Order: sequence, then C-alpha cells, then structure tokens
Amino acid sequence: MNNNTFQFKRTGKLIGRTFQQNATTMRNTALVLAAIPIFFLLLGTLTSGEGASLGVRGEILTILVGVFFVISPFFFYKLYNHPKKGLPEVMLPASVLEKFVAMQVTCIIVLPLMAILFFGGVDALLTALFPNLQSGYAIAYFFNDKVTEEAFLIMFLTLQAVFFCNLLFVRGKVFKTIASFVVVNMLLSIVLVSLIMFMESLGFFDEISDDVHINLNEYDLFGFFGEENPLVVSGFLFKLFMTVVLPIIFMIGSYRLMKTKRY
Amino acid sequence: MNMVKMQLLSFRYGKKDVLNDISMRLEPGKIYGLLGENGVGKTTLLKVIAGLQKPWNGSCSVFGENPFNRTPSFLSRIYYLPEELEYIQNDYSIRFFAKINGPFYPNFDNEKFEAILKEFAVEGDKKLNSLSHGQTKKGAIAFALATNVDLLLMDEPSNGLDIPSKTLFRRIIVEYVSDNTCTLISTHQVRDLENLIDPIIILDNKAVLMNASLEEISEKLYFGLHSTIPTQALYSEPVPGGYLCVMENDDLGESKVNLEALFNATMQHKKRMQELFVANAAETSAPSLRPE
Repeated sequence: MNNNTFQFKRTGKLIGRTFQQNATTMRNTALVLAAIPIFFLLLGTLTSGEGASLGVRGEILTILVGVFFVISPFFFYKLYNHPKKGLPEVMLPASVLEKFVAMQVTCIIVLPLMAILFFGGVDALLTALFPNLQSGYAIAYFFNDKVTEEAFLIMFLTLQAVFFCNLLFVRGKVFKTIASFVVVNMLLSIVLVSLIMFMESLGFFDEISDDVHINLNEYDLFGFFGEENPLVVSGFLFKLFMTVVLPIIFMIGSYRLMKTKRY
Repeated sequence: MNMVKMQLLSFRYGKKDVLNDISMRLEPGKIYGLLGENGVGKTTLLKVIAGLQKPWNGSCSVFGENPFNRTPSFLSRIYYLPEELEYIQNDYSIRFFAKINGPFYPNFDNEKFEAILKEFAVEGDKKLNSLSHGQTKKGAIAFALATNVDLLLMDEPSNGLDIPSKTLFRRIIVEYVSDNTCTLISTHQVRDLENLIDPIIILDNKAVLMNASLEEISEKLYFGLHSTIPTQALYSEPVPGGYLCVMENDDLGESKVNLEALFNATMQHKKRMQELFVANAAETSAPSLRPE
C-alpha cells in the first residue's frame, strides 16, 4: 500500500505512543480494577463470612468490560479534535487512516482487556487462594454466559457511536453524547411505533395471530433470506441495519471528521 | 526551488474576510519574518501552510502537496509551533514529550534537543504544567528545532520570553536551524526579531505588502537620523537627537534597516511600498494555481 496511506510500523508506533501517553492513568485504573475483587471479598467476609457470589462478580465484570469498551474513546482520545490541545495528534506524521486504525484497535482491545485481566485475574487468584471464601471464576462466567455475538454487535455499535460523537463534539462531549443517544432512541421509538400503528390501520396485522412470537436471535445475521413473512423480513432488515450498516456509517463518519477537521 | 507557493489565496471565518488574494513564495534556507498588525491573519496564514485550515479560495502548495491532505510525507517535513501552549501543558515533562513524539520525525536529533534545553536552562524532567509560561515555551522551541524539519513555522515565539531569553532565542535560532530549513516566524513585536529575520514579509488582509530581503529593502529605502523631518520622508518618529526617518533611497547610500520604522512606514504607505517592491507586486498579479 502507498507509503502515505498505511504502514503497519507507523500504526504500531501510534498505539505504543498512546500507551506511553496514558501510562499513569492506565496504571491507576489497573490498580483500582485489581482492588475491586479484594474489596468485595473483604466486605463479604466481614458481613456474611463469605465473599460475593459468582453471579454478582460475573455481572460486575460484565458491566466493567461493557462500560470500559464504550467509554474508551473518551478515555484515550478526548482531546483529538480540540482546536488547541489536539494539535500534537493531528500534526503527528502519520496518515489519517493509520491514526483511525490505531484509535480503533486501542479502543476495542485495551480498556476491555484491562478490565478482564485485572478484575478477572485478581478474582481468579482470590478464588484459587481462598476457595472456602469464594467459589467460581468471574472470568469463566463472563466468557461462558455473557460473550455472545449479539452482545458484541450491540457493544460494537455503541462504541462506534461514541467514537463518532467524541470526534463530532468539541466541548461537553460526554453530556452531548448521552443527550444524543437519548434523543435518537426516542426518535427511533416514535418512528417505529408510528410505523406499526400505520401498518395496523391498514389492516396489516388482522390476519396474524395474537400469539405470534418472533425471536430474531434464533437466526443468524442473514437468516432472514429464507423467511417469507414480511414482518420477519422487516425485523431482520432492521437488525442488519443496526448491527452492520450503522456501525459502518459511524466509522466512515468518524474517518471523514478526522480527515476534514479544521483547527 | 519554492517550498511554499501561494496564489491568490483567500480565507474567511464565516462571513468575515481574513485573507484576500494573498500570493507569495518561500524558499529553503531562509528565516522569514512575517509581520502584520493584530488580527491581520498571520496565524491563519501559518495554519493554512501547516494544513490545519483550508483556503476558501486560491491555492497553497507546500513541497508540491496540498497541505490540507496532511499526508505523512508532508507532516514529517513540517513543524508548527503555535503561540498558545495549551497543546503541550500536560502532566508530563518536555523530555517525555520528545520521547513519544520525536520518533515520528525522521530527522529528530535528541542531542540537539538536549543541547538547546541546556542552553535555555529548561528543567527537562519537570512536568510541563508546573513550569512557567516562558520555560514551557523554551521547551517547545527546543523540540521544534530538534525535529530538523524542512519547514518550521513559529507563531509569536518570543511572546512570554524575558529579555535575556529573547536574545538567547535569536542566537539559538541562528545556531540550530538547519541550513536548508525554511523558517517562517510571525510576530507583531518586530524588535524581538531584529538581526534575525531576512527576508521580511509584511502582511495585511488585502495583500502581501512586502516580501523582500534586507539587502533589497536597504537598496530601496533609507533609514536615517535627521534633525528635522525631510519633506520626502515616508515615515518619521522622534528619537533622542532628532527624527528617525524612512525615505525612498535616491542615492542616499546604504543604511541599517530599522524593522519597527519599516513596518510603520509600510502601514502608512501600503500602495507605494507594493509599487517599490516590484517582484512582490508581480507575484500578486500572477495567475492562480489550481488546488491539488
């Protein structure tokens, strides 16, 4: 590929630079993550004589991974589009594509992995050391019960939306991002309800049984091709839009914002 | 060979015109002084050259590239040192800043960086957000010079420096700027850059009023002390012992260019100055290059 478009070496250097730049914050975050299972074990032991249940610890790990996954653009790249503080990033000799890829890789992998390694690792260590106080591994609970294709796609969509908002808004990013999510969700709900009401007024549902149950998750992503029911097909198209098309739109939008941002 | 070529470049923020049909060329190996009144668009011009802003009309080409494309080959040959230092005031030291950013510049010279830090007496390991403005600026200048880029853009670099540091700054620029580097320094404090900058570019938002070497200026203008103000004086100001006057040089001999008087004379006689420095006037009327 053209030297000016993409180089793995430069992308690797960018990722390394992000690590170096955020080393202190990452170290502190790792310490807090490692302290949480210890805190829960101590609290449980003091109050009820045993540590928190596997379910509680597994859910905490799931929430931490999810939250870290979603907030990572703010964590690492909050200043990227700041008119003054963003200059070292934009003027760094690397292409926009390299910067974009390095940011995506860092956001998708680093923070969630930290939660898994430090919370999950310490939790596993405590279980191994004190089997009489707590049983089961949160990390195993997380991977066996929580990591699904569906969950990953929803989290990926959310991450790309946050990534886009992080580049779109210059100030008050977190508040504006949350507000945008609320507004977009409300609008989507209104549109969907209006659509269903409109279809109902046309008598679309008259011949469909009241007991019909459509579980889109029973099918794989492109499973709707075999279906004939228009409601199922519409549902699948909507799912495809949300989990495949929309993240791609957000990614293209983020790249364009990085490419055309004026400082 | 021209490093920077601008043709009929215009820029506006919203409906406010900032630069209008600006044309100029910059060559390697020179330290250009970009002078102009406040708000005339000096910073905007530097940002356009650095690829941080896109011209509204006309063209700007740097190393033959459109700077707004911000390609790695372009970015590795240019360094922009902004006036405000918010970008660098972080929770880490200037040495750390150099450690994480230096490797991206192919000609970054760490020995040069350390030497300049030493000359400026900057505490390289102290966190930047705990250093004074002047110390932070010196650290930023040290990094900028150590990148050894082909085009160095500095926006008001002497702002925030004390008097001894301003003298040191001039010496360091002369000593450490690479021979082939084109340096463009913008300032509205012309005295800070006396004996450093050559050629001189004087800008207003309508045109480049002057883009000439000191030799050319002293050939065409005479700067002298007179007991009374001569009728042909373009500009005069009272100084101890008489008046410092700027006149057209009709066989008056060579004189030392006084930057402040030159600037004031240019502001008062914009059209005449443009006419005097013909090369620049011809440049201004040259046909526009298309953006790449």
